[in-house]
Amino acid sequence: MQKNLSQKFSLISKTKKSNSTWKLALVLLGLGSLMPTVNLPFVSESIQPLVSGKVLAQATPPANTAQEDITVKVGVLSREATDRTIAKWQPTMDYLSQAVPGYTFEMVTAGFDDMRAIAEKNEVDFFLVNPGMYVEFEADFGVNRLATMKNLRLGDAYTEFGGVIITKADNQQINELKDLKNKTFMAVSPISFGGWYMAEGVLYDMGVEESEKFFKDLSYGKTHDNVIKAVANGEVEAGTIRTDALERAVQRGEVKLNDFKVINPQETPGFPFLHSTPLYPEWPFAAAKGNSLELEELVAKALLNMPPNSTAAKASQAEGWTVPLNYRPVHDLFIDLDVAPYDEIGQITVEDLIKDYLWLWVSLIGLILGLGGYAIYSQRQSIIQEKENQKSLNELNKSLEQSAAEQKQQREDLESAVVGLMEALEPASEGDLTVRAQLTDGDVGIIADLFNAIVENLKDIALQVKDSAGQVSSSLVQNESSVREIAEQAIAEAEQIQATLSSVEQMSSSIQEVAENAEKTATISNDAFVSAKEGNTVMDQTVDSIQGLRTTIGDTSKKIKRLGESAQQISQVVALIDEIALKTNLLAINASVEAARAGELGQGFTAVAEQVGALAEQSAKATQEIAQLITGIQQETQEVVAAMETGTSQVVDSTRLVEATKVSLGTVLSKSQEIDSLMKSISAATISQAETSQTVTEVMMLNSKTSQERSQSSSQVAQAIQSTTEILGKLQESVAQFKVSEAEDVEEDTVFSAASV
Amino acid sequence: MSSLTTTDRLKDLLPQLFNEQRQEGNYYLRFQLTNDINALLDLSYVQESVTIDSSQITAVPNLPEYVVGMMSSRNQVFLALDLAHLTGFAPETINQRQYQTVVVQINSGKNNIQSHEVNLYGLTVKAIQGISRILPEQFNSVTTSVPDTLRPFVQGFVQDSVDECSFVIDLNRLITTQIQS
Repeated sequence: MQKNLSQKFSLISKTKKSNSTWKLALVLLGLGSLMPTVNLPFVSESIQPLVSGKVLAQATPPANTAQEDITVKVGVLSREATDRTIAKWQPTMDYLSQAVPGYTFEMVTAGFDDMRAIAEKNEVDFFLVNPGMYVEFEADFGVNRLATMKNLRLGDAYTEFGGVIITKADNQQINELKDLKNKTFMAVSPISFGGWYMAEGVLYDMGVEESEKFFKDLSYGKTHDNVIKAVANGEVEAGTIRTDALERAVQRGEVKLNDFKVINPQETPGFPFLHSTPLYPEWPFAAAKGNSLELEELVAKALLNMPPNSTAAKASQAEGWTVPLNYRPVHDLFIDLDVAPYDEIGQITVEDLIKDYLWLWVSLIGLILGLGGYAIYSQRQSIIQEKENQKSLNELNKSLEQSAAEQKQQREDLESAVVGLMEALEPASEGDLTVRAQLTDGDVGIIADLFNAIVENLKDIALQVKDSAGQVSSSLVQNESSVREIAEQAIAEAEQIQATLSSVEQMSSSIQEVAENAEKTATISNDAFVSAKEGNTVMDQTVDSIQGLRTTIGDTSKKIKRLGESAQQISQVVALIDEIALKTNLLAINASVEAARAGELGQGFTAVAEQVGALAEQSAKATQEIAQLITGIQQETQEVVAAMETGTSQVVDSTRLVEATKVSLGTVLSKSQEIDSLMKSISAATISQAETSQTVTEVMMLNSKTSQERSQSSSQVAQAIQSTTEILGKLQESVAQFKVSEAEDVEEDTVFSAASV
Repeated sequence: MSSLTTTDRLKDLLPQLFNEQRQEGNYYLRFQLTNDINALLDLSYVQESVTIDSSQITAVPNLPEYVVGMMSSRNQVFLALDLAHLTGFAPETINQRQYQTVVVQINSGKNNIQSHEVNLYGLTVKAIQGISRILPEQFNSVTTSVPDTLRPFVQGFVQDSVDECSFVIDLNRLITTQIQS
């Protein structure tokens, strides 16, 4: 039977490689249920070699660490040669051991299949696997990603990658995806993400559901390099690998890029490598289920902080790690391709039922058989057990009766002792602390002793409490009065501050008035300044006109003098005329005399002479009048000249006066200027004063508020003291209930005094 | 008017000169005795009227105060008398540059019949005014308005205007009473 089962199991495990081990475990469970009947633990033997991974390297040997570091295992998926994998990831392990203190990181490499077994066994704490495997583990084992690799390719870091389908450059038959039908095709592995699933996803999108039948022959090259070599050698007509594997091979000089042709080439901005499929996130660093959150956090931090130029990053051909990306596209791809963990989704065909659920049938049969065997076995065991139980029960009953009688005697003794103790101690419950219990033998005696000690202590405490209460009471009374005083003082202070505040406000307003007046005065003085200036110009004009007047008067007086001279000349001429008239008159008289002597003959001549005389007389009168007029003119002229001279001297005087006035006006001008500047400075000073007084007001207001608050708080303190006093009274009352000495009738006061002594 | 001859212009200016008319009355020389008093003198006494420079009057010592000096006219030398002084007023013509002088002739035959000699006197007055024709009926008798000193030598007076009058001096009596006595 055992052999048979082992054979069956190995058969299953061979055919269902991809459907993996958890289903196997279910089968084992079914078979394991047969264990009690067969009593043979074969599981450990058969499973052990399958699930144990190889420990290939250790970052630091545990013997070297001073303290015992916890060893953390990291499962690393190795797609290529193992040595290269070690070289690639060992520095990262070293880096983590260094960056996360107290832990030693150890690398466990495994291929696609082995890694699944390791995950199932939960042998490692972290995973460094491809996205496909990560998605599978996430669904199956609750693995959680911590960081995504920043893959360094051709000098730049990339967090995404894809698949590339290649063929030889000179192959004319294959140009598009559909040309791949019935051709030989090589993938990396049936469960390689970049090396198969991505290409399969592209084919699925094209409508190909069963890729094995699509190709003429589908083979697996295990590593990317093998696939490249196979295509280059012409072993297969086409193949698929992950992005940049080809470029790396070209860089190593193994192949030439021109020898290959990319099918279904894609263009993605910022991604320089040849690719045929959509891009998916890079490898994640994932934590297995059951790690402490602290450790995961430390590891994630260490990874994110990995410097791009560190040896670990360089060795891993990456620029370090970044925050975990979204792996949803990978999930979608897996759902499309109907692979684990989504292989149950989709249509279940009869073939699938037989093929996929063969394990289930086997396990069901095993389960039924096992259960039947177990039922028979357990019935037989229970009959034997029942008989043994009966026997032991009888023995137990006898011993129980004996012990019951002993216990009754003991209880009665104890009761009597307790009653005695209670009677002795009853007064203590009413506050009498003078009572003492009688000491007896046994447990009760110990209790009585203890009681006595307690009562003694209680008495001391009561005394102390009374004493302290008295002291507190007296000091409280003192405090209360002083607090009250403080409160009153604070109130008085607040009032004073209020008064000061109002006077400061008055001061402020008066300063404001002063400022306004000063401003007005400044304007007025400015006006005065302006008018003084105008007055000065007017004065200048006046001086000018007075000067003009002076010259005019001088001219006029000269002319008047000339007029006087002319009048003098006229009077001389008039005198001459007067003389002529006189002589004419005399001649006329003489003529008349001569004519009269001539008698009758001279009569006519006499008349003529008479008329000539009359004319001469008239001339003389006219000249006399002229002379009078001239005299008048001369007099007036003289007066005018005198007046002119007075006027000239007056003009001189007034010129002097005006000049003096001008000087004093200039003084007024400068004074008013000074007043103006003074007024301006006064105005400025008062403005700053007003501001200062404003500040003072604010400060005073603040003071007032503070003192009010202080008075409030001091009254609160007073209230608190009062309530404390009340509480104290209550305390004293309750303490007074205790009786502490034999002198029971003594008043409370004497008790206090005794206590204080 | 310019075309007119000088005679025409004279006729035009002095019509009374050519329209001769007979006038009645005697001629009297009118002169100013003092500032206040005008006097008249019968033209028959008057020989001539001259203005004479003081240099042509020679002062003569030891003669009455009213005598100004000796003067000459028409080849005759005679005394120049201050008439105002002579009639008892303050002297009117003293130390003048020129003297207005009326030369009178007085017949002294009244008192001395043998000789028909004519006495000439130069009477200096304040101012000679002219000749007036006065009818006899214009004369009024002497009133109280005549100054006392002049009263003895006044024949009558003529009322020239409302407040002015001229006294007619009786020269004969004046000379005889004041000089020849």
